[in-house]
Amino acid sequence: MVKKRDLILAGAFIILGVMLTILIRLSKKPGSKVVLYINGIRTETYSLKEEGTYFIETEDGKNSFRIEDGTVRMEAADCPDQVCIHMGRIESKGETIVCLPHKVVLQIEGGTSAHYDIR
Amino acid sequence: MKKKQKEKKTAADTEAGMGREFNADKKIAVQAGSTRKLALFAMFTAVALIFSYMETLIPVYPAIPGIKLGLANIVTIVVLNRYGVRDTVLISFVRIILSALLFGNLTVMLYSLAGAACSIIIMWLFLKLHFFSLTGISILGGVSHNIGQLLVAAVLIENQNILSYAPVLLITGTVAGIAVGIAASFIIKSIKTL
Repeated sequence: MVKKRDLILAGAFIILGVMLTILIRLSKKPGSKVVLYINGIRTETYSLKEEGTYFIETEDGKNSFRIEDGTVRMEAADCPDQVCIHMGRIESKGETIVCLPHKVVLQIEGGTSAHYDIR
Repeated sequence: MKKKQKEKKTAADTEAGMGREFNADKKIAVQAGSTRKLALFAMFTAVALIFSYMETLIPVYPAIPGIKLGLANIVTIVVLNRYGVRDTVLISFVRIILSALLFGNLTVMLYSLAGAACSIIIMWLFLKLHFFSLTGISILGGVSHNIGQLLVAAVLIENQNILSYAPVLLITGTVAGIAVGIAASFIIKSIKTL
């Protein structure tokens, strides 16, 4: 039922997954702004330093997200799966919150303007 | 499998031994066979659909879209193992359309179709190769389902950054694949009449 080969395959996949996860974690950089993509189109940019709640409405549905303490999270969505809400907060460069049913993506971008205090 | 061969043998015997007079009988036999197949496939689709529904009931909210057990894959593996790739494609297709209409939406259907297409192709190839047991095939199916879905998502929302979910989906696909593979092996082992 379970051959040794199967276990080797499973082990290889899990090790590969863990290694890639570590690699992605290590390459994280702080972000400074969050970019909103709707349907793959870059729609708007918000600074991570300004707190606020924003509402978006697309032809597929409605979402709202909140910027707070340099992090972003999806607050509400009228989609059935609610996956984007459970993705939690994001703050590092390249991190995304994706709402697949509404084709909405929030992505953190870096940016030099926010880090003048490095000497 | 064994039973199928037996049936074929007896059918061939009758044809050779009895001649044309029994053609009518043969026709009825074929019809009975296809009725059985129809009933079985309807049941497979229903069971797969129930599995899909059960998964929407499990109150686990994954942090990443695409993490799931893939219980419906049990049916896919059983059908692929017993009946072949054509019937598997048919049953999976009907199941995905129905489950998208009942519990999801059109976008979800696209992702599911992409994932299912990838996983059926991969599982079929490896089933032919006889290199892995059903558990290994199920792992490959789960992982390729996740990867296919992720690639389609990256294309659809035109954002390559979500490919960073690949490692996590690789792990969850493997774990789910093991569970599904063992379940499918049990079913195939214990229900010989399928």
